[in-house]
Amino acid sequence: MRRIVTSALIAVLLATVTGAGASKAGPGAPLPIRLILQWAHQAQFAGYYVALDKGFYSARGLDVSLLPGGPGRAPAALLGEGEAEAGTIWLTDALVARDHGVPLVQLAQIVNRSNLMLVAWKNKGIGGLGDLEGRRVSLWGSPLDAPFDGLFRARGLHVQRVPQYDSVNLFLRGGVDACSGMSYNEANRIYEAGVDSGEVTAFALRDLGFGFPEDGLYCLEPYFKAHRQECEALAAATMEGWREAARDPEGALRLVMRYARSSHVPANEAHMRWMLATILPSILPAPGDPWTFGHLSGDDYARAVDLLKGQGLIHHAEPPSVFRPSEASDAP
Amino acid sequence: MLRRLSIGARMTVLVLAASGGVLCLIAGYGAHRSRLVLKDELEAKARALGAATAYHIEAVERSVAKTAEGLAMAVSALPLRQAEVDDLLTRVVGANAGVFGSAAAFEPGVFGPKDPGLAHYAMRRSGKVVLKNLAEGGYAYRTHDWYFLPKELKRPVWSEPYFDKGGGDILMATYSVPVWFKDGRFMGVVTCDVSLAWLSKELSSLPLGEQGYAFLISKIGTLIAHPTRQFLMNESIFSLAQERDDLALRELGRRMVRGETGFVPFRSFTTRKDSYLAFCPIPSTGWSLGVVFYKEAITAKVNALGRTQLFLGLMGILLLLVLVLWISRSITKPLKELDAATRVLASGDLETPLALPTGDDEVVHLSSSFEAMRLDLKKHMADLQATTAARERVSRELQIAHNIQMSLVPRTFPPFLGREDFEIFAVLDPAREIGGDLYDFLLLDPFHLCVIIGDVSGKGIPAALFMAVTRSFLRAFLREEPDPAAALARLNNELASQGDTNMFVTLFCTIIDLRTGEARFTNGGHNPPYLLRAGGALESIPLIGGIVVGAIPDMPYKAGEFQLAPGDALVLYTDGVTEAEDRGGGFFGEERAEAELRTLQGANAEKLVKSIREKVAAFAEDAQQSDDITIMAFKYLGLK
Repeated sequence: MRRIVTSALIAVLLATVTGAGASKAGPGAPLPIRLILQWAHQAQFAGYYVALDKGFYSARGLDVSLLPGGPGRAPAALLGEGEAEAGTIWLTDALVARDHGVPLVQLAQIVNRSNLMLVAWKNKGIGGLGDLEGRRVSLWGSPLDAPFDGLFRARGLHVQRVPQYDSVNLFLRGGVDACSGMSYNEANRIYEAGVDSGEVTAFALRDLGFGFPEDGLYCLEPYFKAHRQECEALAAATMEGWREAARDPEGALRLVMRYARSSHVPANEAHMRWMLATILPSILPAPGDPWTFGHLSGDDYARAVDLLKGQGLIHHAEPPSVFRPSEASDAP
Repeated sequence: MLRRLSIGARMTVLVLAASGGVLCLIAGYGAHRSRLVLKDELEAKARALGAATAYHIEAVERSVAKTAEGLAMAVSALPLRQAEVDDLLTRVVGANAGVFGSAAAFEPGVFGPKDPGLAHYAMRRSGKVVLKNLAEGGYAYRTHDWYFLPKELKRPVWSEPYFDKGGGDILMATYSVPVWFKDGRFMGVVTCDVSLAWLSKELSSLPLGEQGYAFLISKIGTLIAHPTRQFLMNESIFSLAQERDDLALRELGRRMVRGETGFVPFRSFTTRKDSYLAFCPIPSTGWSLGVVFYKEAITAKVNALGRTQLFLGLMGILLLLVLVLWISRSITKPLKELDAATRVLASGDLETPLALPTGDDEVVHLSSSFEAMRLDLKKHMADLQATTAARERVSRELQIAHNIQMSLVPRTFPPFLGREDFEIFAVLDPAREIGGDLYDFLLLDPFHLCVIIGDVSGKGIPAALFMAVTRSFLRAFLREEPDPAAALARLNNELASQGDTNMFVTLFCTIIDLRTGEARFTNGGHNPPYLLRAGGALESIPLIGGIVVGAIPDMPYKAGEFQLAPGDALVLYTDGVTEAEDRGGGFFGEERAEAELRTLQGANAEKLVKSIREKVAAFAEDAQQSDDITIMAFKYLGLK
């Protein structure tokens, strides 16, 4: 409790200092930005490590520090508390937070293609989606479960919901028949627990019409207004980092491992390599993919808003120009 | 190739090659066997070590689990007050060395409507037991596996090993027992933690030395204890398999987490060395213990054994070499000596005696045989020399006798120069050096010619001497009294009187009056000569019945007569002519002689003799001559 109070105090102080000094800051003085990640250090954030390590941030006059997330460290909340200036947040998460009064604005939509999935035991007789009826399914808490709920509702499925936290051990021990997961993470964690891919049935939500953009880069609206240029530079540098990660995945992987080791997060190279290789195609579009790198399409935004509204998770959403101010002003 | 070597060298090479081969086979088989035995030993050791270690870990975990279960019973039975819970936890941790920490964590509202959820935790820190409330400090205990899994699974659960950040702050595994209200509502969990630090210590203290190591994986394959610290909690046996794209390793991992026991070939994760892995489960946590032994530990032992065997083998071969050389020398030395001795023998030196080795083996027998052969040869040579000398002497004497014999018959033709009233010619071919035949002729006076032909019984020197005696006597008697019958009678008595020799002679003797052609003759058992008249008619001198001369004394010899006309020829011969044999044993016979003679009308004496001789020679071809052949022809020409 003391730590949180201290952090909050520091954040307020820092915000005051930077806010006050923003107009005075000369071109030589880099702007410190604390960027909070959704989760512990892993390949999901490879582009940020590359951007920092290759000096893409500093080249744009930014002094970025990356803060690991994790259980109890939701970026939206930390941004609201002033513990960080920027953060990576899921689109649905950000929409809900905004509706709850955290004035988030998006700087870039990093992951445009959904990686969300359900993994079910074949030996429990689950071969198709319909087999989930009445089964125990562990799901992450709201609003991460919004696409699942949307799916179940659309298919008329009733499942026994069991909470899911950061491990898949309940699933592995047979405590549930299916669990939620990310294609770049849990799918391989289950494989790395000795479960062969033939032993499970995997449902990718994007294939079932419930894929939504995921990781995005956010800050608070007042911060954006005070540091618009730097915020846009932050987004640009991050995207450059991702491009570089795609160009040299092994180099990016070395950085990922360095960050994971330094923060004592259990991590192994095989899993991180898998994660990077799986998440990159959901960020950088291949020819034919319907999205633009870093850009949130109006259609996707509308679909996400509809989903959340439909489930009563939000009541109001800003127009895209407010949610994504930099693109709105970019427009001619 | 080998054939070119001496027996000793060949024997050495062959024996060494054969024994070297056998040695190699034995060493190879030995290495193979010892490898198997060592592998079996290793397997037994690895399995035993694994089982003992697993048992030990299992015992600790069971005691921890028992403690947690006891605690859970106490918590569910007592009316709950926070101070009592703290006291209970403190005592449990204090009393159980295997328990690092113990928690009693509850759902919100257990201690009243405003209770946000409490998690009492007692743990060791710096040798003391300290208390803390895990609900404070953002720990979010209800999201942790140790709380959440038993709640959802509704049974006690061993957690996956984890680093308890914000809680115990060590690597631990937690045994959590769910606690329920009497009405079946979930109250919370009671846990006991076991530190994993001791596991690595436990495994590294196993007596494996440099030969291997042990490791422990969790229920989902995560490496909990391994010499490579970097692996711990980061890698699982499956992530390593994925990293190395090693499906066999993945399959092994699946067997291990399924709780199987086994002993398999294995390749170390870290050192990449070929190894064997014994694995066995730790049932309560579902973990699996692996004991790795490097194959090189076996190989090193086998190699050391092999080196010793090789050294001993080489020493053995060296010893064998010395022995074989000694044996082959002892065998071949007498052979070499024999060889040298036989070379001397072969050069003709029969005087040097062979050195006879002692003993009773083949070489000794061979040497003895050679020595016997040498002595036999020597004796034989001596005998041969003696025989040859004797034969040479006899032969020389015979030659002399032959010379004498031949000098006794007239051999110069024509014998009487200036005589044109008759021709005479003769040949005598002895069967051996000295024959028994004789012929003779002599002029008793200018008008009387005596012609004699005879055949002494027997051959050789006695026959020659008998012939010489006969001739001398006959010449003498005929000179005294020119009457053939009388001369033969006297000769008969003379020869018979000396007669312990049992020798006799057949004789035909005639005295021809060269003026008239009248001839008087007598015959002592000799073949009657032929008369070849000038007109071509062939007559035989009539037999007048006289027996052989010198056999029986006082025998009468009758006289006969015949008349020769100019041109008539008297042909005399011995039985060597008519009894000459061809190769088939047939006789030349009188018919052949007569037929030949009939073709010889008008021939002179020499032609007569030589023609018949040639016919006989042609008849006999290369058959050995068995008897003296004597032919004599007298041709009466008369006075002109």
